[in-house]
Amino acid sequence: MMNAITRRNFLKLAGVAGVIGASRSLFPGWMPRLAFASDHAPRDDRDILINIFLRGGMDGLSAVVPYGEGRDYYDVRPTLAVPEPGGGPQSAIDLDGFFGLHPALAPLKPIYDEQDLAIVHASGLVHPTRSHFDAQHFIDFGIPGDKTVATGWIGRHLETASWQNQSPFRAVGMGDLLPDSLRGEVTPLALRSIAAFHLQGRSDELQRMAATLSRLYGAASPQDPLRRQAELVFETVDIVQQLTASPYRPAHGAVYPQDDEGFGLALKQIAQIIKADIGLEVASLDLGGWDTHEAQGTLDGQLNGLLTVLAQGLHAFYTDLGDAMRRVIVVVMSEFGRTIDENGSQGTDHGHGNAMFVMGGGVKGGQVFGPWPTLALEARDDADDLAITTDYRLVLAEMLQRRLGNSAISTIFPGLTPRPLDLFHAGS
Amino acid sequence: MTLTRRQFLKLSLRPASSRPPSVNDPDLHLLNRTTWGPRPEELERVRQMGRDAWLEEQLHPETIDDSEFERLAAPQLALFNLPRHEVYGLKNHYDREGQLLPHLMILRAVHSRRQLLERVVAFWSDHFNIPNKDDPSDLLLYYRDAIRRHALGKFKDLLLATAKSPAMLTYLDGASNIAEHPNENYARELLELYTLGVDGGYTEEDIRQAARALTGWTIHPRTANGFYFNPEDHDDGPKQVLGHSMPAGRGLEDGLQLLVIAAQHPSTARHLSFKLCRHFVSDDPPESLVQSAAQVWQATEGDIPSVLRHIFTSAEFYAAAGQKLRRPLEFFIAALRATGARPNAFWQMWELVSSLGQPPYGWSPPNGYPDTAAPWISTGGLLERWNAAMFLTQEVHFGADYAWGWRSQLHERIPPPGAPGGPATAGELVDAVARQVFGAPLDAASRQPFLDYLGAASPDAPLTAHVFTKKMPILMGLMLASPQYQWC
Repeated sequence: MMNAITRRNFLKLAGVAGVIGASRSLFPGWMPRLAFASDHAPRDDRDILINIFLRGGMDGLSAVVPYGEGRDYYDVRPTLAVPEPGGGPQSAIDLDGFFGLHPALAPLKPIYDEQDLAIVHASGLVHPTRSHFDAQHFIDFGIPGDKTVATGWIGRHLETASWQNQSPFRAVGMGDLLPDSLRGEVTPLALRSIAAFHLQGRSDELQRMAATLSRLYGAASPQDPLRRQAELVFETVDIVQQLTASPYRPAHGAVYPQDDEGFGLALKQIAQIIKADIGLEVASLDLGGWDTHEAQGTLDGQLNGLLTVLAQGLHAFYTDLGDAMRRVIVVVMSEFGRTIDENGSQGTDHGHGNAMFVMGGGVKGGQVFGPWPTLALEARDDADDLAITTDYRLVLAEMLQRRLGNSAISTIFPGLTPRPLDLFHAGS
Repeated sequence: MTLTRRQFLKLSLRPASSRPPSVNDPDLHLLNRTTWGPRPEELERVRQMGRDAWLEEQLHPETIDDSEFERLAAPQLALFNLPRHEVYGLKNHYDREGQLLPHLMILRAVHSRRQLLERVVAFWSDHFNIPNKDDPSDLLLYYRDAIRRHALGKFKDLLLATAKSPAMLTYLDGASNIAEHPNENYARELLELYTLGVDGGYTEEDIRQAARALTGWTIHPRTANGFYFNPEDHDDGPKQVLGHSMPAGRGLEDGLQLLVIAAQHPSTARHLSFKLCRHFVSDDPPESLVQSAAQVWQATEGDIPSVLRHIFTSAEFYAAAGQKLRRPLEFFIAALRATGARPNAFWQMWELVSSLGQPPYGWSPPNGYPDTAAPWISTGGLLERWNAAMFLTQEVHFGADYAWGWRSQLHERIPPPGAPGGPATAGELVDAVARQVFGAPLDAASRQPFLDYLGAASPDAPLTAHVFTKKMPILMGLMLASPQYQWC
């Protein structure tokens, strides 16, 4: 019997005792393509996309502060406004004489200065909904107003790509649930923890157990989506076994935040997968909790805590990857921004325009993009909201074309008329 | 958009071809959907009583003797049933970490004989989801006095109880919704999630007006239910909501009328009927059934048992066997019921259900855990199911004095060969295990991989004690891990 303290330890022990390592020989029909590492096109041709979704509606006016608005900003946010730059560590960090970063985002400033980080302000989903769930749905699926489409925008990108890549790590969603943006014909991998990705059981029966599972799922109807997932389990277990042979150590002294939501851990594992060169093209992860209707806080509290985790995570990832960031693009966005005026509960309600972050070597960084609509009453959308001057899909479309090697924009974002923002360097 | 349609058809989820026994067994299908996992003895009762009588009994849970469960969960029930003022003392001792609710939820689902009640309580707990993050006492009273009390009652009463609950007034900021600064968070979710549905025909202006109608609804520690209407903070001007006029100066009446208007709206009948059908019938329920259920809803003013009775006796329901994916919590609890596995301590259960991805009350946004298959189908999720299946069928003891561990009842439920009622052949063993897992034996084709696992040349091959001891638990684990078991 087991002699350990927790189930995690139990799993680990069982894993060590009985990892399926020989599934290639066990499941010949499933494993013809494990040579994927050589059959995908050279990595230098295109970037790896990391798509970070801030669920709940991030307050972009606190993250990237339009302090240059003066009273139009400070008067309508009596308790929430971030002080203008020059007031020490408790004030905004100047970016360009008009916008400043929230102090919690300080770790991003050196990346901005390196011109590897750009901000697109007053961007977002061009649709009047204020429902979290509808807005997230429209963004993940990529077609505002259409709830019948069954594939996500990243899923359609992978389907229309001109290259092949059979790696189970081609598209990875970090977490228990698969992000909708990845839905499509290419089956993504939902992964919470690389280290725990082992099949467990009595070691002397494990091979027979796995063979039976393989047979049970192999006999499932081709329409049963679990059948493909089962294939992926075995492929992934094999790769993970090699990946975890030695513990992962972040490079260049990078320190990932150890937040409760697991955001830092997820980024660290993505870095590990990128460095292992096992065919990753897109990874998707969430950071939730941004719905700050009440007691949002300014330099402490809810929002400050989330921005801290976000900035520390991105900074660690950037540091850890080092030169590899040349061919990695990180996109950070939320479903909508929040109302310009603070509400009666020292919070903000669902709004429209927001700030997007784009990070990577291919970004024309060190700039805040997007025509600024101003906060003046007559410039607002719907009386309360920052107007949207850049459809978020324009950012993604240019990224797809210039950095991800995919020009099938009319399939990925039907109905969108691409317009160059010149936010990205042209790829090789 | 032809591309989209083609992909939609390709991606639409269909059940496995090796079919679970419920596909040919309406009694079993009814149990799969109205309980947390079919037990052979309950199936026997359905066969004896008939489905209609059994369903009627479940729709009147107070008529079902549940004393066995009440003995088993006596310590937790004693805390759960404390008077309101004492509940607020709970967080100082037992329930510091908010364990009581999820623990009792699982205990009830596994052991209570009022199975349909527990399924319906779980449905409403998702519909009116408040995550287990805030004050544990507020949450206990919310899930006890609002959700559980009205789960098989009238929807209007359920809605009103949730709206007045301190947990809800805190979670969606109702308590800070005041005339001077309306906070529309609750009003939006009221119309979008709880009643009309996002396509239910309301406008942004309706949300603003609804928020005004609810101004002044707040919390007070010394009222009977924690709810307090503060006339000072109420916006007493006239309002126009969902086509109804509210004259000025009515105070509390505004909010009460709003909730009744929303509860009785035809879009609510449609939205809630759709959600019930999606939960209990199939991810994409037949339009005919949604419509007829909505008619029953309207005719009975949202009488929840009447709508459920309609659904569970419909032809559409019986045509949908094998089409719902067991969500991780449903999988976990059904596996506990099949194996009889029990942990020594709650945290062991909590770790396992968390690793599967659906800990009770663990979903943060107000819309509740997803209720269709697609979001739950993932590689990591499938591996966790396999590992949980293997875990729950093994005896595991650890810690200094083996104080921690799981104990199953596999050997009580399936005696060894030679013992009274014990299987004599490989085929009998596979059937006996399938009865515990699926409720009934598998068909010949589905049985074969399990016979092969036992190394049996034929179903009639004699079963040795050695093979039984070594392989029976894993055999059950494999059935729980099989594709047939994931669908029900």
